[in-house]
Amino acid sequence: MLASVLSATLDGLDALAVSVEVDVGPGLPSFAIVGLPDAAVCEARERVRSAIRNSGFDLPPRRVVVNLAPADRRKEGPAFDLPIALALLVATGQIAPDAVTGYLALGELALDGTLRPVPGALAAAEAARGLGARGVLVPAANAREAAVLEEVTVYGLGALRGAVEHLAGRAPLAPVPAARDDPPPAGAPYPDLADVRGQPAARRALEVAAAGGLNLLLVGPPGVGKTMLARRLPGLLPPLALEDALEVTKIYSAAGRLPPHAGLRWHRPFRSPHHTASAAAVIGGAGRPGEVTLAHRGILFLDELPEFRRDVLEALRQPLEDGAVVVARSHGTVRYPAACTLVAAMNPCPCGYRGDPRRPCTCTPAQVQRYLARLSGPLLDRIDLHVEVPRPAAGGALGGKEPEPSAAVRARVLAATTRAAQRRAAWNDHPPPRGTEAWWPADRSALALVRAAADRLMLGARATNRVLRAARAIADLDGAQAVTASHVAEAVRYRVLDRPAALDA
Amino acid sequence: MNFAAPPPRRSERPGDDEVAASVALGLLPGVGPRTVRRWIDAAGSAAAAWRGLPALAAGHRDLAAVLTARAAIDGAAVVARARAQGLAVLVWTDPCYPALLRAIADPPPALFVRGTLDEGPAVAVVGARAATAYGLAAAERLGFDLAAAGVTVVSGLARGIDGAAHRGALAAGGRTVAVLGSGPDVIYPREHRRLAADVAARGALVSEFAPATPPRPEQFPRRNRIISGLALGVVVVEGAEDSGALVTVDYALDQGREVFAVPGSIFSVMSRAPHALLRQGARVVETAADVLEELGVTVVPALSPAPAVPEGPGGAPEAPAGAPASGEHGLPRLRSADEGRLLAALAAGPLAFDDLVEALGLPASRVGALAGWLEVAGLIRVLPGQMLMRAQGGSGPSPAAPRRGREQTVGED
Repeated sequence: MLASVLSATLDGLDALAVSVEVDVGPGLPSFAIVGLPDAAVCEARERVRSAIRNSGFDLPPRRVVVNLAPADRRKEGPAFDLPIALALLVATGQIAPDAVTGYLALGELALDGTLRPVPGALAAAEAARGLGARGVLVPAANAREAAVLEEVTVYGLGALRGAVEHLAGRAPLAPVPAARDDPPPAGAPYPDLADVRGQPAARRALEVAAAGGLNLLLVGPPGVGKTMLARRLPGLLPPLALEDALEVTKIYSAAGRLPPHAGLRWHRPFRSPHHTASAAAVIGGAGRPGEVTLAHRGILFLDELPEFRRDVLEALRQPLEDGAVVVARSHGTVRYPAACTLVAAMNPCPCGYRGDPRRPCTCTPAQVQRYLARLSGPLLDRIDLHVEVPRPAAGGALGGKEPEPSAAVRARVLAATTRAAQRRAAWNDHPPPRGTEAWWPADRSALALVRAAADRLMLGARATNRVLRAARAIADLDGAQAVTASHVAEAVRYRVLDRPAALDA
Repeated sequence: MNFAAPPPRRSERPGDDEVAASVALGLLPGVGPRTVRRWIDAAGSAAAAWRGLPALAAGHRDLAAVLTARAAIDGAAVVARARAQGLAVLVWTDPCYPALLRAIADPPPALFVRGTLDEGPAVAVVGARAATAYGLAAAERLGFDLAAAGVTVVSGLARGIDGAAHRGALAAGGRTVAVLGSGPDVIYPREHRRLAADVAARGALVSEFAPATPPRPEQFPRRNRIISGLALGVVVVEGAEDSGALVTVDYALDQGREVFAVPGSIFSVMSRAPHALLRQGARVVETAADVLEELGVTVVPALSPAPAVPEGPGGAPEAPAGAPASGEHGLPRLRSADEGRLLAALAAGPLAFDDLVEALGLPASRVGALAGWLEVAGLIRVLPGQMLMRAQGGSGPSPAAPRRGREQTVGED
């Protein structure tokens, strides 16, 4: 007898609807899965067989063929366990055929029939909404993430037995309530800037980066708090809009990185891959979004920037510019969003103590040059703000004024981004606006100073453009309509690495 | 020591034979400048020494090698090539050869010079390559003040202290001489090419090595004897315990030169060398006046210092009114008295940006804007570790005085 149950598989971040067809017929007992399954899908045979038996159902020794349609697309992962089991039970007459009609099902089965969470439940729910499905059957741990889309009825299932009882109408489940929790309090759950004493230059740079959605490079000796500063940046950013939060949740759902029973992911991501990471891990590969995508609408923090592999750094250039990664696959291309803000940290030289007043640098000039040369010009060009974080004078980390908390900085950033939005410049736009849009309007003295700076400090065209972008953010923080010379003057200081003299005196 | 008296100053310049022979003698492997000088004294002239080399070198430990090399060396060709590049060749017997240098025990038989050497008083300023912001500021200030007083600043064109001393002298519109450890046409480090061109225009690049000689580590200690040899005294600004500056000091002491040291922070390893010298009795230098007084040099403030931020030798910083006016730099002004306050805060020496924020009590954004403006205006410089330093002379990267042509040579025209 023939049966079919609707399911879905991930194609990039989106779900592709898959029809799971099962035919149980005469012949020698066997169990075959066709339709380009990967190894995990093939192993569904053993899981489904045991789960059905251990849930108190029957699997007659017949010839079973499972087809996953469309048959020319590769299917991955164990999420087909549940639809295969349901279709088998229909085909063997243990569930009425119309009971499953209109449901989209996915979930991994344990041998005892309980359901385990799978990646991509949110995308599947989205596909179900597109198909006008009656409901979505997902493992209980995925139920809330699938339910952030309000127009879809979601049922969270504990085990195969419960699914069958529900479908047969013997023990109907209540749909999972919509899981759009209220946004968390602003700034949560990030560490607070009040923990950082001193470092006024670096604090200011964080504020400018937050206000303009600008990429930031922190240069300083080990132990001065570069990582500590970077981790506090997301807490300064404006809260995620609902639309962005949905997108971020979908990415984390597809990557299988949402904690069980998580609903909408409201907070901005902060990702810090290790410097040994491969290009596939950072940029993303055929099947999986990379760190740049996991950092979408948040921060990608690369500590020890020059230690990253050269191919990784070069591959970063395109997503930094376009805000998306495009991966070629056998069936067209997959596009992963990657509109992240890059924060990078590095030592000023291999030994780390260049410019440190209290410890001599043991590097030769040639070593320093080689170290800095690992960062290509085009990559540095894409980093708007270069800031040195020097070691504070002895005792500087203890005394001094009470440091300002994140909330105060965030309020100024919010005011600045609101002003920018009124100018119809989206925060952290990708690709960044070109030409004058990036900074207009500016007064004449500002432009005169930009020209003088480009000339005297020997800044290239791209660096000059970055200066103007930073100046625009500074002007917005200042509440100014037009960029003035004073804003440009401050922005000029954020191009340390364009001036070899500054690091090589 | 067997000091032979310097030859009497003849009015005539040596002929081409003599020059070629001097250069050739300097190129002999395994033969040091002392030996060359002994041979020239014995033979009466370099040309005679070159001709009579087999007899003069009879006692040399590696006579065969010397004679083989002699056959291969073409002094005249080296001289011709050097002159074609616009270099002057000064030999020991030339009346234009610097008198102080001629009097040391081992003067180079020939010097290759780009630019002009004069007989005015000269002081060497040397120190660490990996200098701190403090050391760079001190060297630049001393270079500026010494040059402004009419003294030629001699150094080695190295990174760090050397470069800062040259830059200070250039900013003052004064004279400066760089002694190279490579051929006179090989600039090392490469990032000092522009500085080297400025030095040649406002003084001289000097080398005892033939053109195209690459920089080799063993050549640098040796050239230090020329740095001290050209100067009346040597000022050590910064150096670690094993600093190359101490090599220069050893030569200076052998040559009977005065030795000075600029004290540094007790927390910095870069203070070890100057402090060791101070312990042994070197003179403390706080201002250029300390050097000038000890050397008995009369101050000749006849130079026209480059447009000025304001601070005479050893003088007190000027009032904030010294802050830039808009016409002077052609830059839009920020319209604020805070520029002057910032410059005044840096008068005592370089400060880290973060400490400056603390000292001025202004928001970081404001200090950032002021510092950015002053940097573009060329009034301050940014050093590693966000150290801000007042630029001596306040001019931009190139000196105010017009640059003279590359072909400028010493007495060759």
